[in-house]
Amino acid sequence: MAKTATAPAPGTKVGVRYGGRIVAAVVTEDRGMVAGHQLVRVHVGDWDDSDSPEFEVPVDELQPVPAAA
Amino acid sequence: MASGAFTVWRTVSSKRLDELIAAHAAVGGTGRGRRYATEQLNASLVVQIAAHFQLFCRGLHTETAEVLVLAAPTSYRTMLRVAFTDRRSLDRGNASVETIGSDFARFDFDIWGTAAAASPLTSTRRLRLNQLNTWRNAIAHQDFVFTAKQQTRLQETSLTLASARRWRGACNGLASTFDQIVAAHLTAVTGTRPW
Repeated sequence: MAKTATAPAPGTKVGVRYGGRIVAAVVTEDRGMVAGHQLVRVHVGDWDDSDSPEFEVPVDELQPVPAAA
Repeated sequence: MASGAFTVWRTVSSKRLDELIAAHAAVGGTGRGRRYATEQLNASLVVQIAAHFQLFCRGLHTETAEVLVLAAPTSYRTMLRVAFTDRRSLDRGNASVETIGSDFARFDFDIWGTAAAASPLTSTRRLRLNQLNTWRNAIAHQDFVFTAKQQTRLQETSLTLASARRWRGACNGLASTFDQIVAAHLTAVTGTRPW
Protein backbone atom coordinates (compact mmCIF):
# COMPACT_ATOMS: atom_id res chain seq x y z
CA MET A 1 0.00 0.00 0.00
CA ALA A 2 1.27 3.44 -0.86
CA LYS A 3 1.71 5.66 2.13
CA THR A 4 -1.15 8.12 2.34
CA ALA A 5 -2.75 10.49 4.81
CA THR A 6 -6.23 9.30 3.85
CA ALA A 7 -7.60 6.63 6.17
CA PRO A 8 -8.30 3.30 4.45
CA ALA A 9 -11.87 2.14 4.81
CA PRO A 10 -12.74 -0.31 7.59
CA GLY A 11 -12.16 -3.83 6.32
CA THR A 12 -9.05 -2.88 4.33
CA LYS A 13 -6.10 -5.24 4.77
CA VAL A 14 -2.88 -3.49 5.73
CA GLY A 15 0.53 -4.22 7.18
CA VAL A 16 1.53 -2.85 10.59
CA ARG A 17 4.65 -3.03 12.67
CA TYR A 18 4.04 -5.31 15.65
CA GLY A 19 6.39 -7.52 17.63
CA GLY A 20 9.45 -6.44 15.68
CA ARG A 21 8.09 -7.30 12.23
CA ILE A 22 5.43 -6.31 9.75
CA VAL A 23 2.24 -8.32 10.22
CA ALA A 24 -1.09 -8.43 8.42
CA ALA A 25 -3.95 -6.53 9.99
CA VAL A 26 -7.41 -5.25 9.14
CA VAL A 27 -8.54 -1.66 9.61
CA THR A 28 -11.51 -1.65 11.96
CA GLU A 29 -12.15 2.06 12.48
CA ASP A 30 -11.13 5.51 11.28
CA ARG A 31 -10.23 7.36 14.50
CA GLY A 32 -9.88 10.71 12.78
CA MET A 33 -7.23 13.38 13.17
CA VAL A 34 -5.63 13.32 16.60
CA ALA A 35 -2.77 15.62 17.57
CA GLY A 36 -2.00 16.18 13.90
CA HIS A 37 -2.07 12.50 12.91
CA GLN A 38 -4.73 10.61 11.00
CA LEU A 39 -5.25 7.46 13.09
CA VAL A 40 -6.92 4.14 12.38
CA ARG A 41 -7.63 1.22 14.66
CA VAL A 42 -6.35 -2.12 13.37
CA HIS A 43 -6.98 -5.74 14.30
CA VAL A 44 -4.03 -8.10 13.95
CA GLY A 45 -4.53 -11.75 13.13
CA ASP A 46 -7.75 -13.74 12.89
CA TRP A 47 -10.83 -11.57 12.80
CA ASP A 48 -12.75 -13.99 15.04
CA ASP A 49 -10.08 -14.04 17.73
CA SER A 50 -11.08 -11.49 20.35
CA ASP A 51 -7.73 -11.94 22.07
CA SER A 52 -5.81 -10.75 19.01
CA PRO A 53 -3.98 -7.43 19.33
CA GLU A 54 -6.05 -4.40 18.39
CA PHE A 55 -4.54 -0.94 18.57
CA GLU A 56 -4.29 2.49 16.98
CA VAL A 57 -1.69 3.49 14.42
CA PRO A 58 -1.10 6.56 12.22
CA VAL A 59 -2.14 6.09 8.62
CA ASP A 60 1.28 7.25 7.42
CA GLU A 61 2.90 4.32 9.26
CA LEU A 62 0.78 1.65 7.55
CA GLN A 63 2.76 -0.75 5.39
CA PRO A 64 1.98 -3.02 2.45
CA VAL A 65 0.39 -6.32 3.45
CA PRO A 66 3.26 -8.79 3.93
CA ALA A 67 3.55 -11.35 1.14
CA ALA A 68 3.02 -14.32 3.47
CA ALA A 69 -0.39 -13.02 4.61
CA MET B 1 -8.73 25.48 25.03
CA ALA B 2 -10.21 22.02 25.35
CA SER B 3 -9.36 18.56 24.06
CA GLY B 4 -10.86 17.51 20.75
CA ALA B 5 -12.90 14.90 22.60
CA PHE B 6 -14.41 17.49 24.93
CA THR B 7 -15.15 19.79 21.99
CA VAL B 8 -17.05 16.96 20.26
CA TRP B 9 -18.90 16.20 23.52
CA ARG B 10 -19.99 19.84 23.88
CA THR B 11 -21.01 20.27 20.23
CA VAL B 12 -21.83 17.19 18.13
CA SER B 13 -22.86 14.93 21.03
CA SER B 14 -24.77 17.69 22.78
CA LYS B 15 -26.71 18.44 19.59
CA ARG B 16 -27.68 14.78 19.14
CA LEU B 17 -28.93 14.55 22.72
CA ASP B 18 -30.80 17.85 22.36
CA GLU B 19 -32.55 16.46 19.29
CA LEU B 20 -33.89 13.53 21.30
CA ILE B 21 -35.10 15.83 24.06
CA ALA B 22 -36.80 18.00 21.43
CA ALA B 23 -38.49 14.89 20.04
CA HIS B 24 -39.69 14.12 23.56
CA ALA B 25 -41.26 17.55 23.81
CA ALA B 26 -42.81 17.21 20.36
CA VAL B 27 -44.78 14.10 21.28
CA GLY B 28 -48.09 15.70 22.18
CA GLY B 29 -51.15 14.57 24.11
CA THR B 30 -51.73 12.93 27.46
CA GLY B 31 -53.06 9.50 26.51
CA ARG B 32 -51.50 6.05 26.72
CA GLY B 33 -50.04 6.41 23.23
CA ARG B 34 -48.00 9.40 24.33
CA ARG B 35 -46.78 7.60 27.44
CA TYR B 36 -45.55 4.64 25.38
CA ALA B 37 -43.82 6.97 22.90
CA THR B 38 -42.08 8.96 25.63
CA GLU B 39 -40.95 5.75 27.36
CA GLN B 40 -39.28 4.67 24.13
CA LEU B 41 -37.68 8.09 23.75
CA ASN B 42 -36.45 7.98 27.34
CA ALA B 43 -34.89 4.57 26.70
CA SER B 44 -33.25 5.88 23.53
CA LEU B 45 -31.97 8.92 25.39
CA VAL B 46 -30.38 6.79 28.11
CA VAL B 47 -28.62 4.59 25.53
CA GLN B 48 -27.48 7.65 23.58
CA ILE B 49 -26.11 9.45 26.65
CA ALA B 50 -24.10 6.35 27.55
CA ALA B 51 -22.89 5.94 23.95
CA HIS B 52 -21.80 9.56 23.56
CA PHE B 53 -20.06 9.54 26.93
CA GLN B 54 -18.19 6.39 25.85
CA LEU B 55 -17.26 8.19 22.61
CA PHE B 56 -15.89 11.08 24.68
CA CYS B 57 -13.88 8.80 26.98
CA ARG B 58 -12.40 6.84 24.07
CA GLY B 59 -11.52 10.05 22.26
CA LEU B 60 -9.89 11.55 25.33
CA HIS B 61 -7.92 8.34 25.85
CA THR B 62 -6.70 8.34 22.24
CA GLU B 63 -5.67 12.00 22.45
CA THR B 64 -3.85 11.38 25.72
CA ALA B 65 -2.00 8.44 24.21
CA GLU B 66 -1.01 10.41 21.14
CA VAL B 67 0.29 13.38 23.14
CA LEU B 68 2.46 11.06 25.24
CA VAL B 69 3.65 9.10 22.19
CA LEU B 70 4.69 12.26 20.38
CA ALA B 71 6.58 13.47 23.45
CA ALA B 72 8.65 10.27 23.49
CA PRO B 73 11.76 9.55 21.40
CA THR B 74 10.88 8.36 17.91
CA SER B 75 12.18 4.85 18.51
CA TYR B 76 9.75 4.39 21.43
CA ARG B 77 6.59 5.45 19.62
CA THR B 78 5.46 2.17 18.05
CA MET B 79 5.89 0.38 21.38
CA LEU B 80 4.01 3.06 23.29
CA ARG B 81 1.07 3.23 20.89
CA VAL B 82 0.49 -0.49 21.27
CA ALA B 83 0.92 -0.36 25.05
CA PHE B 84 -1.52 2.52 25.40
CA THR B 85 -4.26 1.46 22.96
CA ASP B 86 -4.13 -2.36 22.63
CA ARG B 87 -7.42 -4.02 23.65
CA ARG B 88 -8.71 -1.10 25.68
CA SER B 89 -11.71 -1.81 27.84
CA LEU B 90 -13.36 1.34 26.51
CA ASP B 91 -13.33 -0.16 23.01
CA ARG B 92 -15.36 -3.13 24.12
CA GLY B 93 -17.58 -2.14 26.99
CA ASN B 94 -19.47 0.77 28.51
CA ALA B 95 -17.63 3.80 29.80
CA SER B 96 -18.01 2.54 33.35
CA VAL B 97 -16.13 3.59 36.46
CA GLU B 98 -14.01 0.45 36.09
CA THR B 99 -13.21 0.68 32.37
CA ILE B 100 -12.35 4.38 32.58
CA GLY B 101 -10.14 3.79 35.62
CA SER B 102 -8.28 0.82 34.15
CA ASP B 103 -7.69 2.36 30.71
CA PHE B 104 -6.40 5.67 32.05
CA ALA B 105 -4.21 3.78 34.52
CA ARG B 106 -2.06 2.90 31.48
CA PHE B 107 -0.85 6.50 31.68
CA ASP B 108 0.21 6.03 35.31
CA PHE B 109 -2.80 8.15 36.17
CA ASP B 110 -5.48 7.69 38.86
CA ILE B 111 -8.29 9.42 37.02
CA TRP B 112 -10.96 8.85 39.68
CA GLY B 113 -8.77 9.84 42.61
CA THR B 114 -7.64 12.94 40.78
CA ALA B 115 -11.19 13.79 39.74
CA ALA B 116 -12.38 13.43 43.34
CA ALA B 117 -9.65 15.81 44.47
CA ALA B 118 -10.54 18.28 41.71
CA SER B 119 -14.28 18.38 42.32
CA PRO B 120 -16.41 17.53 45.37
CA LEU B 121 -19.21 16.57 42.97
CA THR B 122 -17.25 13.64 41.55
CA SER B 123 -18.60 11.03 44.00
CA THR B 124 -22.20 11.90 43.11
CA ARG B 125 -21.39 11.99 39.41
CA ARG B 126 -19.69 8.63 39.72
CA LEU B 127 -22.85 7.18 41.27
CA ARG B 128 -24.91 8.71 38.47
CA LEU B 129 -22.61 7.13 35.87
CA ASN B 130 -23.12 3.75 37.52
CA GLN B 131 -26.87 4.30 37.45
CA LEU B 132 -26.77 5.33 33.79
CA ASN B 133 -24.83 2.24 32.75
CA THR B 134 -27.07 -0.06 34.78
CA TRP B 135 -30.16 1.32 33.04
CA ARG B 136 -28.35 1.28 29.69
CA ASN B 137 -27.57 -2.42 30.06
CA ALA B 138 -31.12 -3.19 31.17
CA ILE B 139 -32.46 -1.49 28.04
CA ALA B 140 -29.91 -3.08 25.71
CA HIS B 141 -30.64 -6.56 27.06
CA GLN B 142 -34.33 -5.89 27.80
CA ASP B 143 -33.75 -7.29 31.25
CA PHE B 144 -35.23 -5.13 33.97
CA VAL B 145 -34.77 -7.61 36.82
CA PHE B 146 -32.17 -5.93 39.02
CA THR B 147 -29.99 -7.53 41.67
CA ALA B 148 -30.25 -6.28 45.25
CA LYS B 149 -27.04 -4.29 44.75
CA GLN B 150 -28.38 -2.73 41.57
CA GLN B 151 -31.69 -1.90 43.24
CA THR B 152 -29.81 -0.02 45.95
CA ARG B 153 -27.80 1.83 43.31
CA LEU B 154 -30.91 2.73 41.33
CA GLN B 155 -32.93 4.14 44.25
CA GLU B 156 -34.89 7.24 43.26
CA THR B 157 -34.19 6.71 39.56
CA SER B 158 -36.48 5.57 36.76
CA LEU B 159 -36.67 5.70 32.98
CA THR B 160 -37.92 9.27 32.96
CA LEU B 161 -36.74 12.44 31.31
CA ALA B 162 -35.88 13.87 34.73
CA SER B 163 -33.51 10.99 35.49
CA ALA B 164 -31.98 11.20 32.01
CA ARG B 165 -31.30 14.90 32.53
CA ARG B 166 -29.53 14.14 35.81
CA TRP B 167 -27.37 11.48 34.14
CA ARG B 168 -26.54 13.80 31.28
CA GLY B 169 -25.62 16.53 33.75
CA ALA B 170 -23.33 14.12 35.59
CA CYS B 171 -21.63 13.16 32.33
CA ASN B 172 -21.22 16.84 31.48
CA GLY B 173 -19.52 17.41 34.81
CA LEU B 174 -17.29 14.37 34.51
CA ALA B 175 -16.29 15.28 30.95
CA SER B 176 -15.29 18.78 32.04
CA THR B 177 -13.32 17.48 35.02
CA PHE B 178 -11.60 14.75 32.99
CA ASP B 179 -10.64 17.25 30.30
CA GLN B 180 -8.98 19.50 32.88
CA ILE B 181 -7.23 16.88 34.99
CA VAL B 182 -5.91 14.95 31.99
CA ALA B 183 -4.49 18.20 30.60
CA ALA B 184 -2.82 18.84 33.95
CA HIS B 185 -1.39 15.30 34.02
CA LEU B 186 -0.01 15.64 30.48
CA THR B 187 1.48 19.00 31.37
CA ALA B 188 3.22 17.47 34.36
CA VAL B 189 4.59 14.57 32.30
CA THR B 190 5.59 16.36 29.10
CA GLY B 191 6.18 19.92 30.32
CA THR B 192 3.82 21.27 27.68
CA ARG B 193 0.12 22.01 28.04
CA PRO B 194 -1.66 19.86 25.43
CA TRP B 195 -4.84 21.98 25.13
